[in-house]
Amino acid sequence: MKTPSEQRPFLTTLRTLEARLALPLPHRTRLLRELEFDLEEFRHTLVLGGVDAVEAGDRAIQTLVPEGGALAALEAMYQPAYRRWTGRWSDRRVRMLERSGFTLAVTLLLLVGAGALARADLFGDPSTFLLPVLALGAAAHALALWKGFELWVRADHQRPERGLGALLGLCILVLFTGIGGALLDAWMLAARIEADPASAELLAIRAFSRTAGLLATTFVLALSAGLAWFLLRHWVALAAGAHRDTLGHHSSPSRTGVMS
Amino acid sequence: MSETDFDVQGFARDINELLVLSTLRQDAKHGYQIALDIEGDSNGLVRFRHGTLYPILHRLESDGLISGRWSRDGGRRRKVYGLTASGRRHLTGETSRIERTVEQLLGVLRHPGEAPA
Repeated sequence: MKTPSEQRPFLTTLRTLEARLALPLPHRTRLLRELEFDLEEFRHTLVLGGVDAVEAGDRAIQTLVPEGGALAALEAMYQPAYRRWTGRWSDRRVRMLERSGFTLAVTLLLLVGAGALARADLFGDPSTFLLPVLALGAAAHALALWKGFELWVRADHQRPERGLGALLGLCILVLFTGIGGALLDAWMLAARIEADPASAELLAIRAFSRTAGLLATTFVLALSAGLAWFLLRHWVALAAGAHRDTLGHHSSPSRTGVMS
Repeated sequence: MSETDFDVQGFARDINELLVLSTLRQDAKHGYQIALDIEGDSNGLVRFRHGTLYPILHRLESDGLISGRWSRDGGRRRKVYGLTASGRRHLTGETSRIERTVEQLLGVLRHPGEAPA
């Protein structure tokens, strides 16, 4: 039975190259896969032609592994449009523009959301817990928006899984706050009815309206942020998983932090 | 590249691209086969070094002159390149242009000082 290094003799070469290869994740994985197959077959062909195995391996590496100019050409070719567009500006200016754009997008999102809630008349007599639910939901959506921008627009894949745990945590927190708030509202309603049994019907109707608004908002926010988390997590799991397999890392994180 | 504005680096790049295209004229091939075939066909005159083959392959693919196709062999994935119809036309047209350029350059080398007819 072959040892891992016999099965994949160019793994070390691939790992060394990966650390220098600044391509977006799917392109990086595809190039490494293509290269590994070509290296093995190139060497195999030379060995069949009578070349010593070690020499054949060295020639394969020398011929096929991208260096200097080839690396730069590949990086330029796969540079995301966003990076090409912002490449002419300093990092500081780009960061400032990104933050401004992000703030603008979140503000628009909040205005649209607030408009929808106002039309649904949820602010007339809201539950005490509506505001925390809205704040947590807005934070979750802002994080999802930023993560999507980082992965798919800026194509920054150094740490693709960063922030996904926090996004899931925020989704869960929205649910807990909303459902917990509805239960607390019910408990407070019971206390009020006990104190003023004559107004029980009126209090119950108001409480029902508040609780319905709170739960509807909770579920809409938690589900939409949860869906965003699922899509992001699915993409990262596929892309990072394929990359991990290509580099022969089945559980340990990459030295470059790609899989952390 | 304009014929009146000779660019040595561009000319070398064009030659490399045409070599890749011409080696795919008959069959689809893997990257390593392309490198070996060009080296063999040119009797070792042209050798790709330091992975310069991949930017060429990927650029030709993104320009639609060749098409890359992934297949699976056992657990391994491999990429094979084939010439597209557009690549075939490009190869014919560019080969004629390169021929004319080389003839002009040879004319300069063989008969310096004489303006081309």
